[in-house]
Amino acid sequence: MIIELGHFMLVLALALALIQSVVPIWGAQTNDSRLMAIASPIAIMQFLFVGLAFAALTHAYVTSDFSVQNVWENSHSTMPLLYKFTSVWGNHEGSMLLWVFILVIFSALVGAFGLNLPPKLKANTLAVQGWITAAFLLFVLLTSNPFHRIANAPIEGRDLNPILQDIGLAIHPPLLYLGYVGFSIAFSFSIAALLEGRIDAAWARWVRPWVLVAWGLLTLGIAMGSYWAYYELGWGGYWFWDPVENASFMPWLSGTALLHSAIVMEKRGALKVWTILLSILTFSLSLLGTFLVRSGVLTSVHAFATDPSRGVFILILLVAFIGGGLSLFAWRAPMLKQGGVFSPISREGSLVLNNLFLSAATAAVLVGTLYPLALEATTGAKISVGAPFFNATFGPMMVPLLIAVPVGPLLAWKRGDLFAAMQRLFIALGAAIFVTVLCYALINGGSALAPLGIGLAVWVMVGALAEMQLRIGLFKLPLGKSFSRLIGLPRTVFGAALGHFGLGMTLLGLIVASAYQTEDILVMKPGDQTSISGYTFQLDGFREHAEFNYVDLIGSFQVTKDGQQVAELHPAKRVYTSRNMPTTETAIHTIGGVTQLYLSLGDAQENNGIGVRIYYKPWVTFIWLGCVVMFIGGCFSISDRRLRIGAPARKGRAKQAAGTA
Amino acid sequence: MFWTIAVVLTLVTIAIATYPLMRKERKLDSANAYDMTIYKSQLQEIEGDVERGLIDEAEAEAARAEVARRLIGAQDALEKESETDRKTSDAPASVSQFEGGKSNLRFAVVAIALVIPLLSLGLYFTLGSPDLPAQPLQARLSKPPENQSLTELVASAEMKLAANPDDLEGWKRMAPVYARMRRTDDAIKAYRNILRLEGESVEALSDLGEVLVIKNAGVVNDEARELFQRANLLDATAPKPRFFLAIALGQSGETQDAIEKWQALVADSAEGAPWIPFAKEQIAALKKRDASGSTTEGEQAPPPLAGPSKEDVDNAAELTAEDRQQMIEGMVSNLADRLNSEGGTADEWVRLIRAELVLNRPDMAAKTVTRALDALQSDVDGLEKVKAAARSLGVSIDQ
Repeated sequence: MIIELGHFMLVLALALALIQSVVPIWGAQTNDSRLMAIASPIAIMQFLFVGLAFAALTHAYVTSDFSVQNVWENSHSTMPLLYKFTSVWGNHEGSMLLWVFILVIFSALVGAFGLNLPPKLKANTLAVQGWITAAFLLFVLLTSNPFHRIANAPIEGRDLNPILQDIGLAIHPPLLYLGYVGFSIAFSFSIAALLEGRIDAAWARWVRPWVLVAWGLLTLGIAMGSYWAYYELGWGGYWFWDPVENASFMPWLSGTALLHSAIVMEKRGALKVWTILLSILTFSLSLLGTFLVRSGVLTSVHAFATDPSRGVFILILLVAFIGGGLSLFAWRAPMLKQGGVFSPISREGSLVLNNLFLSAATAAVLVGTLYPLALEATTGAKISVGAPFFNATFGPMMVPLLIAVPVGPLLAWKRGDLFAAMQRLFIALGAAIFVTVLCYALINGGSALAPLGIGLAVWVMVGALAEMQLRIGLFKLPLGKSFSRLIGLPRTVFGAALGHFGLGMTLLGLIVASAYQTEDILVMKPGDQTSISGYTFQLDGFREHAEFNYVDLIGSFQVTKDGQQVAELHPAKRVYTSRNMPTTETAIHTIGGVTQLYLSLGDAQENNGIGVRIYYKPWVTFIWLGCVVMFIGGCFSISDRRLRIGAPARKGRAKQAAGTA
Repeated sequence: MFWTIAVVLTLVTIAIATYPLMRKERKLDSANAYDMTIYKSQLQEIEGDVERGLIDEAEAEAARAEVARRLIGAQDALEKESETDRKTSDAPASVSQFEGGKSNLRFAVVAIALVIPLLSLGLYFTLGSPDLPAQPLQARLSKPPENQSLTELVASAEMKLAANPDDLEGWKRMAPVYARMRRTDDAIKAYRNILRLEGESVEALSDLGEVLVIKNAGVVNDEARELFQRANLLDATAPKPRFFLAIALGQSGETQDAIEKWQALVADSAEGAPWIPFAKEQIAALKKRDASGSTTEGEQAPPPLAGPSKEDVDNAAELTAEDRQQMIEGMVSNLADRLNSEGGTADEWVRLIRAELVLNRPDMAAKTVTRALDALQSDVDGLEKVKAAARSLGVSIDQ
């Protein structure tokens, strides 16, 4: 009964979403406070119902109820409990339910905590959220229903895809979806502003924290996914420019642009219309990502064409939301008041530059992702657009942007002084030049451009701290005074500094790890030794180890450097018995928290030999640590107290009513 | 139950969704008033920043001027608005507007009260399976055996074997079931376990040999052949090992030996033994082969799955009612053994009584009742439960 109640509550949520999409807007048009007021309770109820439906499905997974087709297809009674939970979203239907669940969480948050929002803005925003929720609930119920039942329940499930039987599945998709779907709020706020034809001051203040939340979680989600692919796939790569990755990277790029334009809008009231457009585009890219990953169009355009029910449904959603959003923008945006003028050399100007480069980079990734699909659909030719394309297009656009990153925060609003800003960055510039020269002097081999890249990363990292140094008067004021100023700094300043510093860290990790990594791919037998980058790897032997649902062939390696033992590593070749599917379990040893030794086993060869891949990856953890630092920066910015807004003081009768209530 | 909850949920949903519509109309604050609040707090923030020395006076002045300009703009807009408000509220038009609002409201309430139940119940009727009960695995496997489906019976027996792999009786029960379900690998595993636990017996050795032959599509491989030979050593008269050894000889081209073995088997068998027709066919075929001088195997290789269990294996890919009965009996007797030796709860005793009635053994059930009453002497509630169950099932209680 729990399952069927979950199913029923999902249907109830759809009915509520449909009401939420119509009545509050009607109220906003007719100025009726009561019609508008139903939006919040309905949003909160939807959250409850979808949450309970999600809990019901989870319950079916945990109790291995194979009368639910989705449970039967994606789980096994002997799986560890954690994977029974994560299997809920380790499949198409369940993950779409998670998508909708996160969407209604966000709606409910606006409904519950948007007390100080102007009522019309809130009603319209929630109504737009209602459109999205209704559309996706329909999609779930009609094409991807996780509550579909089997009358004659099989006795055992078909197991979860082995690659997904990992802690990564517990973290990566929820984070990614929180990010994707978080941008829906920015979208809804923008559409609401367009519907009403005015941009409230509250609008500017509300959009930024929501974008920050979505952006921060998306950053973590992408980093997590990248690290997961790195250790799970067993060939040492962390970013493949794969369409699925691009699908999450595009909203991140435009979301980053949105984050910055929202600052201009909040502080200066400028770039309002552009921010609205970016909000629409960012969420559109989230939807596009969902379409690419969920419609099956990536596996094969032809498979998509033969079983198009899901794909066509999302495609219609895509056209409706993106097309509708952009048409509304074209129609209503000219009515919006533009505010704030600024000269090109100014904080605003630098943020516009940021937006230009980020948008162009997004476009490059978009082309590289969609072009092969379009080509396959029209001519049938399958091509893959890999790293070379993106290195040639995306890379060059990033360089000027990265050079500009430290400068922006040092320019004053409205009218800046570039020369003064550059003067303030002399420490960062000096550090960058010093490190570059040092690299050229000390490092043999590797790319000739790598030291320049390292210098750029140092420039971004040290430069990120320049604004803070300047604001607290470090080296100019007495240390105590500087410290007290540091305490009093607005958290957004920390946020910006950490965000930019993290970006520099990621860049540094990417450059060092790709330019100076060494690898060895060979066949080893017990007793064999090999050395890379000063580390000696000796294969001691193998043993077999069986768990209830897989069998491991575990290799035992001694790692030594200059005769001293560094680590003992145990990579494994794993075969999942129920699907007879092999995976590799890599062994990774981290040295000093930054550099990693990475070992994975290939196929067994004749004469007791086995294929072994060994990588020495210097500073590779900086790639992900940088993302974590960016996320922490986002948290700092969100926690800034100045984002809170008071409700307007009421006059007369309303005030009395409030007093007695 | 489900429909009660569903209807209650629907009604509560309608109530919460329409509640705001029943309340009094509230005068809305102008959006400009909201804007002004934000501008005022921005002014305060600028002062705060100046106090903490974060921005210098010149910057602060510029910022103040900017925010103040916006504040004044919002103020003007607000005043203009309230002026038009006053004008329109004097006019009688507003009354009709208010009436219009009322009819809007009525319409909204009716629409919500219709859309929610019609859509949710309608859509659920087409998509849901309200009558299908939940079937969590644990509950399915711990159901009393007479209520279990075939797959559930097999799975719960497997679960018990996984927990206790030394359960000889369990393996003995499952081995033929596996063989008939064509789960050959599982059958092989079961027979190997029987050999491990029981030691060698003619029956176990030749049964294992037979499933190995089935797995090898009728070919008696070396391992199977060795098993049959061991069985043959234990009992030279047992027909099954002799049967398969004869096939093995035929397959390996030892035609003369094969013919002799077949003839000996036929001679020793009672009349009407099921393998005799097959043996005679084999003799004829082997003789023909011998005459043509061909020693190549293959063309005359016996059909796969030939043997005493031919009909069984061919006709019973699925379990028969008998097998099912047999499995249930096995499980019921397990339960009975456990309760007799270790005791158990009143519920377990009642379950056993029920099971015995399902198996059509009223005498056994009556005895079980007596034993249960003995065993539960110290448990007053338990005694009552068993007595009540016995009465309702129509089993006599002799005290």
